[in-house]
Amino acid sequence: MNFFLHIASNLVKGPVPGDAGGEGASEEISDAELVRRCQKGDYDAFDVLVTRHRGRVYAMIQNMVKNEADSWDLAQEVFVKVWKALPKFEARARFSTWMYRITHNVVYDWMRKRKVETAGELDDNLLDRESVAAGAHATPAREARPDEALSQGELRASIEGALEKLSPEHREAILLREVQGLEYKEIADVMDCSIGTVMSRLFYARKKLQSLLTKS
Amino acid sequence: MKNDRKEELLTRWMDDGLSDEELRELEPVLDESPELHQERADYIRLREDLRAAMPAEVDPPFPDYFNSRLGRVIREGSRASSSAESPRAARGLNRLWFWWMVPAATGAVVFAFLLGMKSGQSANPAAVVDSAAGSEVYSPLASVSTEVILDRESNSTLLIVEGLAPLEDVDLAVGGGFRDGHHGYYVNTEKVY
Repeated sequence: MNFFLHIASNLVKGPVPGDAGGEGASEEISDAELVRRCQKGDYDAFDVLVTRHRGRVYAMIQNMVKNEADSWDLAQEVFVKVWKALPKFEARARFSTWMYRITHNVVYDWMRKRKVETAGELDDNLLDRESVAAGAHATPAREARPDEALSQGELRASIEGALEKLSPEHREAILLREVQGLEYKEIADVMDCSIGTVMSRLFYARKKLQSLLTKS
Repeated sequence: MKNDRKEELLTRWMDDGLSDEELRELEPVLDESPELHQERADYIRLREDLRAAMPAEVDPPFPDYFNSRLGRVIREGSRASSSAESPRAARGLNRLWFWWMVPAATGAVVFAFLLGMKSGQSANPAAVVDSAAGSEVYSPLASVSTEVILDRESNSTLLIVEGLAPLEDVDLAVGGGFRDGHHGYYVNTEKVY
């Protein structure tokens, strides 16, 4: 009698890819040098780049998407696209800025598809320019500082909640500037807009963020 | 002053990035709205809170698997570039990895037990199993070891997972019967632990 067993989740994984470059050495090699090696087809160099940058890419996506599984998938997609596009990368921008640009495209593609699938559930215009006047005060009446009455955990939840209420463009501008520490020009490159637009997005996003946190 | 210019100067003022000349340009606005100073101080505190609450870097879950899977996808993609499987196309399977590990491992424990019993009855146990070259099972836990063995005679694959906590029998629904002309044992791995 044949001995046969059926496991519903038949998910034996395929062959492991070749050995990755050691993480220990990654600190000594610049991104530019790793990119140069990648462009010659060195996958180990790419693995070092992935290890070096996956945390920032994942954090950025996670803060935009707010879903662990989707963030994981999208981060994978980002690096697949990075690998495919590396031969055309000309190093006019920093590798990390270029990578954020790809991350931006992947996230916005996902949002657009999701928006179609959910028939407008995702509203890009949660905040339009008119909803916060240029001269408006984000802190209309000075009461207690938003964080004064909040514990660290509550503060984090409060900040995350406020960020989620921003439009994707405003949220991304805030995250790229305040969390990832990019310069205005880099943000403009990532978001494919002018520096003036970046300034405007930051201006209104900050006001809205302060307003939301003051209310909460 | 035009709104766009005002927004730009105020934004850069918040970031402490104005030159002396720009600061002089902004002074009339600040004189007109002195509360902006308080707003700026509040935002600087908020920025500190934001940075504390939202780390710039968070490793994805199972980071080593992240790299190994990425490598596999890229290599498979380059091998079959004409009919390249896009990462999105693989997403359905990929999503499963979050959920299959423990149930699959559960099934493997039972299967290992059953196969062990069967192997014990074989006249030539060594001929029953063969290493499954080219396959891999990823365990997210360092304390859990995995091994894949291919049983060519029965065209089945054995997953051995060691180091898992004991499972209650009631957690497993095991049955037997014919499937596709073969007699077999069936393990319900649908449940997620």
